Order: sequence, then structure tokens, then C-alpha cells
Amino acid sequence: MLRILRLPALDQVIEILSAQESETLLMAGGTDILPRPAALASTRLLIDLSQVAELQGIALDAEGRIRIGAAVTHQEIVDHPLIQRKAQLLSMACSSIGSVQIRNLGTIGGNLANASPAADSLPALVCLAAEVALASPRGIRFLPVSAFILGPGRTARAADELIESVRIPVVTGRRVAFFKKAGQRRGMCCAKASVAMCAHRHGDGRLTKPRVAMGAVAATVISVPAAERVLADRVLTMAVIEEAAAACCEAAQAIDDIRSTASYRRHVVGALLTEGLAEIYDHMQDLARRQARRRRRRS
Amino acid sequence: MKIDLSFTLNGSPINTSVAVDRRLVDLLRDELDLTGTKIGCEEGECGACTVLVDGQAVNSCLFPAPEVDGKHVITIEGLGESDNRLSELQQAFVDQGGIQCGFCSPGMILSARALLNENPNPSQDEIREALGGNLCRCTGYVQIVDSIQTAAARENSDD
Amino acid sequence: MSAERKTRIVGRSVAKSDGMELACGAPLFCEDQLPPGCLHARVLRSSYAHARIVSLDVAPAEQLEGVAAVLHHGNVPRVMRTTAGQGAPEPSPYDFTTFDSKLRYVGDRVAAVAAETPELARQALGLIQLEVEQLPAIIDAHKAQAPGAVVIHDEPDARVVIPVTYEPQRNLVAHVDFQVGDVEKGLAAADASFDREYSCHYAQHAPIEPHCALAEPLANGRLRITTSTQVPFHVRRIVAQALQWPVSRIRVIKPRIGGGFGAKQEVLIEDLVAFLAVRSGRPVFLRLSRAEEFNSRTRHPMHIRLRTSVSAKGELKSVDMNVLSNTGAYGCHGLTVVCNCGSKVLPLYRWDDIRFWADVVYTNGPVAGAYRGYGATQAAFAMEVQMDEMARALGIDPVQFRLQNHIRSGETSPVFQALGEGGEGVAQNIGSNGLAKCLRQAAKEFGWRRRPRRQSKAILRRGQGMACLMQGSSIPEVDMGAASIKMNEDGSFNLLVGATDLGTGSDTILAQIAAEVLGVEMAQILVTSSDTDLTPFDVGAYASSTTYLSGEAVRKAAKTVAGQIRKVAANILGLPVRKLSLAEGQVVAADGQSLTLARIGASSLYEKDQNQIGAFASHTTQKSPPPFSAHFAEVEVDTETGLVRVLDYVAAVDCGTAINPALAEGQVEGAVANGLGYALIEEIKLDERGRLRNGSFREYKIPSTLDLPKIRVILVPTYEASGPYGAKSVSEIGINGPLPAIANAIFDAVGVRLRQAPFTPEKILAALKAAEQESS
Repeated sequence: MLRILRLPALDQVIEILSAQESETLLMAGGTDILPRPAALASTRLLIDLSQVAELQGIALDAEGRIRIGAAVTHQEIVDHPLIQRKAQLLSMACSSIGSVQIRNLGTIGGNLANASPAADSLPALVCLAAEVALASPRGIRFLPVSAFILGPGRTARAADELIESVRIPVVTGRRVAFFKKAGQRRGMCCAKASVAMCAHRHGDGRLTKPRVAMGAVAATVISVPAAERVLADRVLTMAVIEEAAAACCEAAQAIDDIRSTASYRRHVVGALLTEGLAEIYDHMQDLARRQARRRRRRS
Repeated sequence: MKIDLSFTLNGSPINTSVAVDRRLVDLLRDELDLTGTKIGCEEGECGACTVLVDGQAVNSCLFPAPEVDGKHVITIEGLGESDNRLSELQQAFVDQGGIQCGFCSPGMILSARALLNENPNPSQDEIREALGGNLCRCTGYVQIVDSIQTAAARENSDD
Repeated sequence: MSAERKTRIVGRSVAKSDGMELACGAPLFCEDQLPPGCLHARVLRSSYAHARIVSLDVAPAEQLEGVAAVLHHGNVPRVMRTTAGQGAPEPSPYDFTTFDSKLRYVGDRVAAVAAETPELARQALGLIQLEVEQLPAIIDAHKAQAPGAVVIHDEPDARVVIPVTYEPQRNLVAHVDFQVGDVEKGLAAADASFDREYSCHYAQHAPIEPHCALAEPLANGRLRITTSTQVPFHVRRIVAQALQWPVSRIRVIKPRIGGGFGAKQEVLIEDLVAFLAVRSGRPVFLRLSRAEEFNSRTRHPMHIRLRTSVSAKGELKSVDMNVLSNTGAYGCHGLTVVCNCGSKVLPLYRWDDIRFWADVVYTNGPVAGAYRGYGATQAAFAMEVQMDEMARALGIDPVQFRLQNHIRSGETSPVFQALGEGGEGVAQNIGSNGLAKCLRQAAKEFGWRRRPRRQSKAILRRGQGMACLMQGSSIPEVDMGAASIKMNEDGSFNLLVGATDLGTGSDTILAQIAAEVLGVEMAQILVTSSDTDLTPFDVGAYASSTTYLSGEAVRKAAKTVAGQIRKVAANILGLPVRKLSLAEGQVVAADGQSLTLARIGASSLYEKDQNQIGAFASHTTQKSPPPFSAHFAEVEVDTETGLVRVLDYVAAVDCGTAINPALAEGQVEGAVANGLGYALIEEIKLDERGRLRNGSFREYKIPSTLDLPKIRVILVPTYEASGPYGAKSVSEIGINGPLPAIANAIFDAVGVRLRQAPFTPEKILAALKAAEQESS
């Protein structure tokens, strides 16, 4: 017999989690759970997290990081000014999740817990060096997203732990970022492959501290240090872009499945990175030209 | 196991109880006899079951019924005017060919309602973006997009 | 034959008559009207592609509390028939029974349960114990006829009921072969010849409302079936056949239905709810899950070899089309779909020599059936891509090439005579033909060859492609539509038609035709359709027949009624009938006297010479006038990701007179959208064991608002003298254009010919890579 508990406070959830043995399912938006009656059938207790006060809200935490409550929906992330200003990459990635209706229900915590290799938010979170805050009777521990996700549907969350929030360090300075995805169609779909990238942009055309991560080309989201090394401290040129793209193709450990083929995925991550970097390149060229024009006018 | 809930449905208060594993679409169709909300795929992909919860478009097949407690729900049955007339938006769908078989229409119209509430003057692209989660197999969407633009123009001229 | 003249309501885009109720979300669909105490059905389906049932234990399911009935091959009579909702005797083989002891595809019926709730029914299915002997399965159509191949229909009672080739022992469902002239000679002698192979894939109709049906036993011993169908009268006949009941004990009602596209021309679930209702004595409802819907019926995958020849001046010479069609585990529509490959494609151009030959084979794959386009979709792909290839080889503009070779008004094609619905066809001369106008107008509107091109080195490359199409309007000498009209005392009319509105708007356009003849407004025509107890017979909504055929039946009935009205008026006014005409709700005399229809209605029902004004009319046809169409597409191919974006799409169509232009445009827009999905993203994928790998909207994507351009439709009016007010058909033709138009546009953009649909990014990149390697 299925029981549902709809709890208002975090400590209540933690108390129940630590007491229960197994067959407890945590649900926030429900977009991944409700379409699977089989999963529900084997569940004894479903804890509805959508009303837990501590899991709401987007704000800066005591350490100055952006804190996104685990039950915050994708649409709230897309629309939030703090995210748009300080973690634009996440806003871009979340806007490509599902449909309006799904984004109004699905949550960032659910996306993490579900640990799909194709989840759109994960490459962005990895690039942004986000950490997952896990709450338990022992307090809160933080894990980098890349350490939290272990495999398809598998995470480092212990049975008595709950995803409390995601924390994203705030970085100052001029930033560039993109999220690119290849899917079965343009409208709502799961990624065949996705690439997220962010970096600092300097006036001389250099990119520093680049972060590149890819989705749906390995058992988990993966970052691409080889591509980051190519881009780091370099002025963006077409040659650099090509080199970085090759590193992405090289890093992909893609498989054939229902959505695509391994060889397509390997190729397309390079194409997606190229597309995104080329847009940044064009943007920077444009900026440089405008600057030059301004200087000419002044002189 | 049943739980009690109170919520506002199309402007009227509802007090009922529902089995915990019911979805909002089951509550609406089976318990409250509001069958305008359609079931197309039961996994949030087709949008035929779209309703508004606190003004936001959601898939009622993905929405646990117990969670509507304390919320405001609008279904297709709640969009018309009080004197049995269609709303401007519904009327525009009728006038502009936005309805063929009509099975996706309730969900489509509610997604459009949510859009127009936020953005009274959407572009073609904004309309297409907002309706990305509502599948229609009959129309090719051309006359649906026209319908929404027509509705927007009529609603704006009323103000 | 009526002359072309000005009309009042025909030709106007009046709003759909059911639009208002649908916009309110009124309870109009099958599942909206479940009676109290209704049981819910679920079907246990085979997870094996090919197996024989060794034992089946349903007792644990029967004993579950809340289960009312369990059906299986052991307790349901074996009555061989077809699920294809076609006229009788059906051209599809009788290779199906309600439940069989052999399972022929993943998804085949094993048992069905009716229980108090859907959950209980599902639970009951889980209790059924099935033991099978697995048999080798054929998934690849090319292997179906290999020596020693397993026989899928080895049951001795599988048979055909019309005289056609059927050799189930060789997995051969149908074979067609006809030749006019000497093709081999023609191919060898011409200046240039072409020989290419094309393939089309499994795809699903994906109506947003899945199949659903409700059966209710009535106190008088009859059964009422409310079902989401395109063919209510065929449902009545086929369910009666399955139950071994007289037709008179069954009433079938089609409520509003959520799309069909051919999938609902199949009697797929009505027999189950009927049996379950009879067994339990209670109403039973069944809706297929989306996963079941994906495995319900599909488009026939085909392999087509097309050989053509042409003179240096661009005159087409010989054509040889050979088709291998895969009908899956059952042969529904197998023969007729493949016949349409020839009959709806080959007559479009003038050929000296023609051969069309085809095999339809069984496999253990999903069952194919009727799907909008009905074989023409697959064959037009081959033909129109090859036309493009020929034109380019000859250095002739593809539009010019079509203009030079297409069939003209007054001409005929030997194909019409040779290929019909299984057997021979019916000879016809082309009447109305607006193809040249379609080509010219669409080319102009689209900007054919006048758009800026990107350089060939760019990552994003644009290309243009086009295609020409024809279809038919109903099946000549087979299809029948009927209508009845009666007049009420307020001057309104009840129009009763067997015709089936799937959302297409046929109720509206049939009312427009009646209103036109009777000189009244739309509000005066009250339409009741698709109820086998109330409405006259109609074959149903398929073969692009409703406007042309049922529309003419309505026009004839309305004409008779108009005559009766004038007669009553003549008696009242004391004037000769010939001096009276109907207009604006009145009978008007040449001298200016008039009578309202309300006055005439009241008089006829209550006052003098009391008599119900009303009439029946039926219509059949000796021809199937083709609508014609020209499609133009512009694509942008991303040579790095392989993604194809459709930037613009223009479809010009000659459907004769568009009775309701907005609805006609809607038909074309929807068909093009469906065709674009088939060309670019939609494909049912099977694993090596014949299981569907993508039977959900999560994995099988159909086009969303974000995937389609603003499809532009041009209606090119012509006047088809044999149709009501000059109308032909419009519903199917549009789906045939996207495959070839997009393939040709992709070639124009990046120089690779794709002959295997769909054109996925994976295929495009692979083709680009292969082309690169070839050139280096």
C-alpha cells in the first residue's frame, strides 16, 4: 500500500529518511516518477518534497555562493535575475529542458537525483563548478556535481540523505558561456549529445579558466580537461577552436542507442563546441571592431 | 489511502478527498466530471492534459492530485465567459481554424492562455516556443498560431 | 452535370460546425461519456515476435476480485477475417481471428480482461500464465521469401475472399504485375536511363487520441458500440462477423474523434469490447496506451526499385517500378496499398511503356495498415526523386521537366484501367487538371531559383527542392456514400450522413453543400453523422472520398428536397414549379412573390396535403478524379551537425472547388506537417527480436511547433464536373510531397542523394563523409 507524505519542513523529511529502511521514494516535481506506474507500484512511501520550505528559493548563501533550493523548478531558474546575471549558463541549459509545462514542474534537485546521462542541467552545473548540498542527520555535506553523479541513475546520495540545494560559486568579471544540444527535433527532446562551456573573457581576446562539459556521450556527464587546456589563456582563433573541438570528439565515450549512434555523437560534440565558440569568436570580433571605431572617433 | 483537499477550481471552492496515487487529470476527469482535459500520452509529452495551476501551464498527468491543495486550478471548462459565451481566445480558435479534431485544443488553448497572461502581444516565435509542449497532428500549427495572434489582437483592442 | 456558377456558401470559409463545443471542452469524445458501472479492459500482448502458445492459464486472473471477464483463444470462437475496414468482400486476406494460438508479432493479442478499474485489469494481466514455443522470426522483409523461411501464416483457414494471388506458405500476401508496351526495350533504346533503389520506413499515425471504444449491452439484446473510428459501418459488419451475430443487433456510433489518419480505418479493438461486454453483461471501455497505439498499425515499409528512361529532349519513355512491401504480421491493406503505389503515381506522367510489379510479404514486424497517402507516399518519393535526378542529368529545370511531361486534361493513362483495388481498375480520362497552374503559381510564390545561395564552403548550406503529386478521389465502382435530409416546420433541416468526420470538418462541408442547394444559412442545417442506426450507409473516411462522394450524395438529396419544397410552394402560391427558386430561406417566384421555408415546413407537416418533406440519395462513381499538387521546399543543412532545417514550404493544390477554403488549407497544412515528420524525424525502430524500441512520444518524436516552418498553401481552383460544385479531394495528397521535396532540396544544398528515408542527421553526415571520400 502506497503512502504519500507531504512534509513542510526539512528536519521532518530527514527524520523519516533516517528511520525508513528502503522502498522510500523522494519526489519533487514528479515529471520523472509519475509516468512510471511500475516505479510507484514497488514504492511503499512517497515523500513529496515540493512544499518543503528549506528546499525553495534562489539567493546568495553565507559564503556568497548562489544557493538554488532543490525543489526550485527549471522555469524559476530560467527566469531568475540572479541566475541570468551570475550563472547564465545554467539558465541557458534549463531553458532547453522539456516544454513550458515540464519546466514549470521539474526541479533542479530532481534532475540531479535522476542522474540521466542526457540531463541538460548537468553539463552546465559541472562547468559552473556547482556543488550539491546533501542534508542528513549528520548535517550538510557538499559534493561537486561531478562527484555526486556516479552513473546512469546512480548518485552518491546515501539512503538517509536528501538533496537540499545546489551551490554555485559566484565569479566576477566578463564571462562567456553557451549550451548547445543536438536532439531528435528542435522542440522538446532528450539530448543525443550536449556541450556546455563557460570562460572568462579578456579585452585582448584571451579566454581564461575555461570549463567544458558534455552530456549524453558517456555514462555520466563528463568534463573535458583536454579541451579546457587548449582554450586556456589563448586568444580565440579558428585554429584554437578546431583543436578544442577535436579534444571533445576524442573525449567522448559515446554508445549506440535508440536516439543516435556512437560515431554521430563523437562527431557532433565537436560540431557543437565549434558552433558555440564560433559565436563567441564572432561576438569578440564584433566587440573589437566597435572598440576600434570608438578609439578612432576619440582620436 | 485518501487525503482531503481544498482548492479553487475555475473560481469555485472545491472540498474533496482523493486517493494519494491519483493524478490531477484523474481527479478532474473521474471525480469531478470535467472531461475537457484530455489524456493523450500519460507522460507529459503531448500536452493534451495541460491545465493552469496558480496561473502556470502544467501537465495534469504529471501532477499528483494531492498537490493541488490550496492552489488555483483553471481547466478548459473555466475559460468561457459567464453568459455561456466563449472567451476571445476560444472564439479565435474557432474562427481561425485552430481546431480540427479538437482533441489537443483544450491543452493548446490553456498553454496559449498562460502565454497571453504573461505576454499579451507575443510574436510568432514566442507563440511557437510557448506551445512546444502541445502536440497537434491535424493542423501543422499554422492556423493555431494564427488563432493566438488573432486572440491577442482582439484582447488588446478590448482594453 | 452542373455548370460552374456563383455559389453563396460553398467556397466560403465558414467556421467548423463543431468548433464551439470543442473549444469549450464539452464531453464529445468516447472516453468523456463512460456510463456508470463501466468496466475497463486491458489486453495482454505477446512479447515474442513469433511463437506458438503451449499453455495459457487464466484462472488466477479470473479469480481476482473485480475481474468480470477474461478472453483468450480457448473461449472465443475462431472466425477468420481481416481488421481492415474496407468494403465487402474485402481485398485484404482473412488471416486474423479474435485470438489465435499462434503469436505473430510483439504486441499480438494473447488475452483480454475486463475489470472494475484499469488498475485491476492491469493487475489481472500480470496473473495470466503463458507458456510458448518460440519460433524463428522474420524481421527483414527481404528474407520473408528466402528458401526455407519460416511460414508465418501456416494456419489452413487463412484465405482471400476475392480472386487474387495469395500464397501464405511463401509468406506472400499479394503479387501484382502488369505491363503496357515493352519496358525492357524502352529502357535500352532511350538516350538516358536511370536505375535506383529507394526505401521507406515504418512510421505511426500518432493521433493525439489513441484508439478507444465503449461497448454497452442494451436491455433489448442489442449492443451499442461508441468508438473512435473512421469506418462505423465496417465496424458494425466486422464486429457482427466476429460475434457471429446479425448486423441488426449492433449499433455503432462515432462520436467526435481525436484524429485517425488511417489508423482508425482498422477494426482493432471494437471486437474486444464487444465480446467483453457480452460476456460480462456490462459496459466495457478500452483505450490503448500510447505504447500500444505505437504498435497498433503503421505505414508499410517499402523497398522500391525504379527504372526510367528519357530522351535527350526530356521526353519520358519507359518506367519500371518494382515494389517490395512489408505488411508485418497481418495482411490488412497489403494488396491495396501496394496497388496505390502504381495507380496514384505512374499516371502523373506520360510514358510509352509501363511495368508495375510488386510483392507484399508477411514478416513478424508491426502490422502495417492504411496510413494517409496509402502507398502513394512511398512511391512518389521514388518517382519524384528520380525525376529530379533525370532533370539534372539532362540539364533541364525540374519544374520545366514536369511541365513538359505531366498528364493533361482529356488524356488517360493505361494504369487507371490496369490497377484498381486489388483487381483491375476503372479507365478514366483526366477531367480538371490544375497541375501546370500549381507548378507556376507555387514556383513564383516560393521564389524558385531566385533566392540567394550560400557558398558551397559554408557550414550552413541552403537548397531548394520540389515535387509533383496526384492522388485520387474515392474508389470508383466500390465506394458508396449516402445522405438523407428531412425538413422541419421552422425551415431547418436534419442532414443525416454516414460520412465520418475525423476532425477534418466533413460535417461542416457537407452542411455547406446542403445549405447551398436549399438556399439557407448554415444554422438551418443540423448534421447527424456516423450512427449506424440513424444515418444512411457510407463506407467511411478513407481513400479521399468524403467531399467528392458523400458530398455528391448530399447534393443529390438536397436537390430532391428542394424540388419537393418548390412543389409545396407551387401548390400554395398557385404557380408552376418551374417559376420558383430557393434563396435566402425562402421560395421566390419570378413575379416577386415569396414564401418562407418555415411557412412551407409548417404547411407540409400540419396543414395541407400533410407529408414529410425529405429524401435519401446515394452516390457511387465511375471515376476517381485526381487532385494535383506541386510542393516546393527550402532547407538549410548544417554540414557539421547534419541537422536539416526546413526554412520554407509552399504547397499548391488543385482540389477542384474548395468547398471550405480554410478547412482545405488546414488539410494540406496538416498533411505536409505529417509528411515532414516522416521525412526528417519519425521512424519506428525495432530490435533484432522485433520489439519496438521507441514506442512512446519520449523517443518517437512528431513535429512540434518548433520543428515546422509556416507552411504556405495555395489553393488553385479548377472545376471537376463529376464532383459536387466542382470539388475533388484534398485530405491525403499533401502528405506525399515532403519526402521527395526535402530529399531534392538536400541534394541541392549539399550534393548528396538520399534514397533511404528518413533523412536523419546521422544519415546526412554519413552521406557527406562518403561523398567527401569519393571525391578525394
